[in-house]
Parts: sequence; structure tokens; C-alpha cells
Amino acid sequence: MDLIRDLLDTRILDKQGRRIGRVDGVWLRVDARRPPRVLSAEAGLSTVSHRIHKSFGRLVRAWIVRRSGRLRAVKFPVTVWTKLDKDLHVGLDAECQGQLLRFEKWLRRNIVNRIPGGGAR
Amino acid sequence: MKGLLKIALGILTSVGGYLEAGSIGTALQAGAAFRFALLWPIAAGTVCIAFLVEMSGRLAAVSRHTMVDIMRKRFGVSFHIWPFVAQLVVDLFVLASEIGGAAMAMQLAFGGSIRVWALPMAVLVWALLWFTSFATIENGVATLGLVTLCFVVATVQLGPDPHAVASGLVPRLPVSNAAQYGYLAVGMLGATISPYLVTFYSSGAVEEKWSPKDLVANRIVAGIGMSFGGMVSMSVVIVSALVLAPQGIQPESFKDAAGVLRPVFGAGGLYLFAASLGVGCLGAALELALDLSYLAAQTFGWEWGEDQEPSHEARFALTYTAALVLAIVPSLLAIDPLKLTMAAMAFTVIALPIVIGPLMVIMNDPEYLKTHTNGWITNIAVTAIVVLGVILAIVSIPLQFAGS
Repeated sequence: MDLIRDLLDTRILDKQGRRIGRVDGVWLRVDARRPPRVLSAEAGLSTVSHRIHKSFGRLVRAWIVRRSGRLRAVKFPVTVWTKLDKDLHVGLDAECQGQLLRFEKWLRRNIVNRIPGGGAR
Repeated sequence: MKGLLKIALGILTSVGGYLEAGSIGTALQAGAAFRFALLWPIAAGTVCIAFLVEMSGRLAAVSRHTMVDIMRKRFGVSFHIWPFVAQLVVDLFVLASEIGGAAMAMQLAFGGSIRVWALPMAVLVWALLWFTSFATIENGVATLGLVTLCFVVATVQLGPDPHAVASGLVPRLPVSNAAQYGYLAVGMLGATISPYLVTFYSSGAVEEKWSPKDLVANRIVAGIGMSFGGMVSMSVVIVSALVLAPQGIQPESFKDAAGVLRPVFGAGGLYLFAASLGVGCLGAALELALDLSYLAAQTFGWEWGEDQEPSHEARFALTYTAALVLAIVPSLLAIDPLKLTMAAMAFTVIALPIVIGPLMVIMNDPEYLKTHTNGWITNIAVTAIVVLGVILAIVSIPLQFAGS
């Protein structure tokens, strides 16, 4: 697998086919005696901002830590991957997993559902 | 039969949704200042946008991914961020000018000021996006947009000299006011080759689940729909050249040009002009606000789609909401919509290579297009027109500002 071509920046879909992010970073285990092994894909603002520019990444990370106390990038270990084609499919249901789509769920609960028509069309 | 209906609807959408603040504003000024001499930027721009729209539809039909989706995947986020930011700024700028144009249309029809009308217009756009579906927006606004055909009717009624009109289709150096001529040509190219049309069309094709079976319909809609749309845009130049130029009116704002349809339609001409401007701007504002959400959602991998309830895609719905809030600021500051439009169009042309360049690379990549990659005619035509636009922009924009 070519990590940059095949994995990095790929869309991540949950088991319902819902778009839940992009592969903003990849975690590898590097061992001098073996080829590197992929541990997980990572998605999150702190990761993507670091890839855009290191200084920008530092600013964003500092802001996130100040706001919520810690970095909240989500890791998808290879054990939850079900398929990798043009998209990365993971065997998780984003609606049932507390650590996924946190900001989306917060916006839904606190803003969108309070506006008429937000919940039903 | 179903295919024919789809093509007819696509052409209707292209024609009805073609005119907006940029195309009306630049065409009125061009006709008044240079009569038919600036018909060629519309012709060149229409050829270019027809190619671009066909390309983005083809990409979506073959790969089942949108242009923005593929751009991030193909080039990586550290490159993709530049076209993303460029288009975000251009879209916001143009959205502000469309809201201003719609507010100006209401001012012309009912009085008041654009400051008063900007908020209701933005709320109307937001409500249509929040409460209705993609098909309702696309087909409803395009059908209402057929009111812009009043400019075609006016052209036929006024009976321009066909030779004079045809000569305007060939680019020529102006006798005087070269800077204004170049600046208007840039504005007209920017109004015609709007990048938002390309990303919006690509997102729409994925929303409507296009497949390679739709490639023929895509080609026909892009070619015929955009050509008819370009003709409507040219009719605005012609009517302006036949009505405003002889009276020596050089429109500095939409209000100055409001009487352009009066010689053909009498007192009702003002209302037809206001309706054309209002519906055109409203339709474009809907597409631009949606496009801003598409851009953000596809760049960051959020859930998106105008047919879903806002609660299923809170970030998508709140992006167009925030964009509309930002877009009413220039109107609340009483910045003239036509001046804002001209600036937005010039900026669009400068941003074109950043947005279109990566698309051209993708369109020649068999990994995404399989056997449907671009032919050499498409590559040469689009590159030549975009390069021409940028050169004109680099030369004429500083000259125009130095002159004024």
C-alpha cells in the first residue's frame, strides 16, 4: 500500500455509509528490523492543521488544549477497518460512538434542533 | 422519455439560472460603454464554462466523487487548502454581491433601501435552503429565472443590426478607454466562468447519483444549456447598447440601468428588470451558499447533501447559515451592489487558475476518469481562455484603478 496515495486524505465512512471525516494522519510502528506497520488512521482538526503548516498546527493545538483541556483527534485502529478502496470503511456506527462526531452532535443538540425545521423536513 | 425529460430540465435550469448580479451588471455596463464590442468575452466565457461544467459532471458520473473530494485526495490537504481558501473567498464575495443585487431589485420594485431589504433577502435564501430540497431549489428557481428571457424578447423587438452584433464576437483592441474595456472584459469573463458553478454542478451530480449512463445527457445539457444561457447574457449587452448607449447613460449602479427595458415593455419594464435581477440574484445566492457548505463539507469529510434534514448534517447547514450572515454585511454598510459585483468578478478571474488548474490535472488522470479523460481540444480551449482572462486581469485591473 502506498500510504500517501491510498490512505492519506481518504474519506472515512462508518458502517452506515455515513461520512465521518478524512484520514488526516497515519500512525506507524517503525521497527529497525521489520518494515513499518500501520497502527491507525487519525482524523481531527489538530492533525489536519499541523499538515497545512506547522506553525498553524501549533496555534490550533494550543487553542484546542486551552478550550477543552486535551487534544481530541480520533484514532481508527486497523482492527476496525473493514475495507479500503476510494474510501476507508470502518466497522463503527458514528451515532452510537461517543468519541465520534462530537462537534457535529453538540451543534445538533444545542443549535440545529432548537431552530424550527432543523429536525424534520 | 425519462432521459429526454432530464435533458430538457437540465437545459431549463442552465438557461433560467444563467443571469445573476455579475452577468447582468457587467453586461449592462459593457453595452452602455462599448455597444456590441464586448460580446466576445461572453462567447469565450460560455465556451469555457460549458467545457468546465461538462468536465465536472463527467468526473462525478465516472468516479461517483465530487471535484472537491478528489482534489483533496489527489493533491493532499497542504496543497488543497489553497484552492479551497481561494474559492471560499470568491464565493463569499460573490454571495455578498448577489444578496446586494436581490436587495437592490426589491428597492427598485417596492422602494426602501438595500440596507432594509438585505436581511429579508438573506433570510429568504436561508429558509429555502433550510426547509426545502435540492430539486425544489434547482428547478423552482430556474423556472422563475425564465423571466430573464424578457431581455431576449427585448432584443428581438429592438432589432439590432446583425452585422454589428456579429462583429462584437471577434476580440478587437478598443479605440479609447482601453483600461475600462479590459476591466469590463475581465468582469464579464469572471461573471461567466464562475468557479462555484463547477463545484456546485459536480456536487449536484453526486447528489442525483449520476453514473456513466448520464454522460451523454451531461454533454448535451452543458453544451446546449450554457450556449442558450450565454445568448441570454448577450441579449443584455445588446439591449443596453441599443437603449442606454444612445442616451449616454453609463450605469454606475443597477438603479441607473433600471429603465433599460422601458422602450419595449413600457412602465412594466421596470418591474421586469427588477424581477430578472431579483430572481437571478436569489438563484445564484442559493447556489453560492450551498456551494460554500459543499466546499467545507467535502474538504473536511463531513456529511453533506441538501436533501437531508439539517439535524443530520449540522455542520453543513450551519456553514451556509454563517455564510449568509457574513454576506449581508456589505449591504448593511450600503456598499453599492454593482461596485461590489465588479470587484468580485475581477477577483474571480484572478482566482481561476488556482481553482481550475488542479481540476485540469485530475481530468487527465485515468485513475479517476478511466477511459473518459479529457481530449486535447478541451485541454487547450479551457487553458487558453483562463490564461487570457488572467493576463487581461493583470494588465487592466491596475490600469483601471490607477485611472479612477
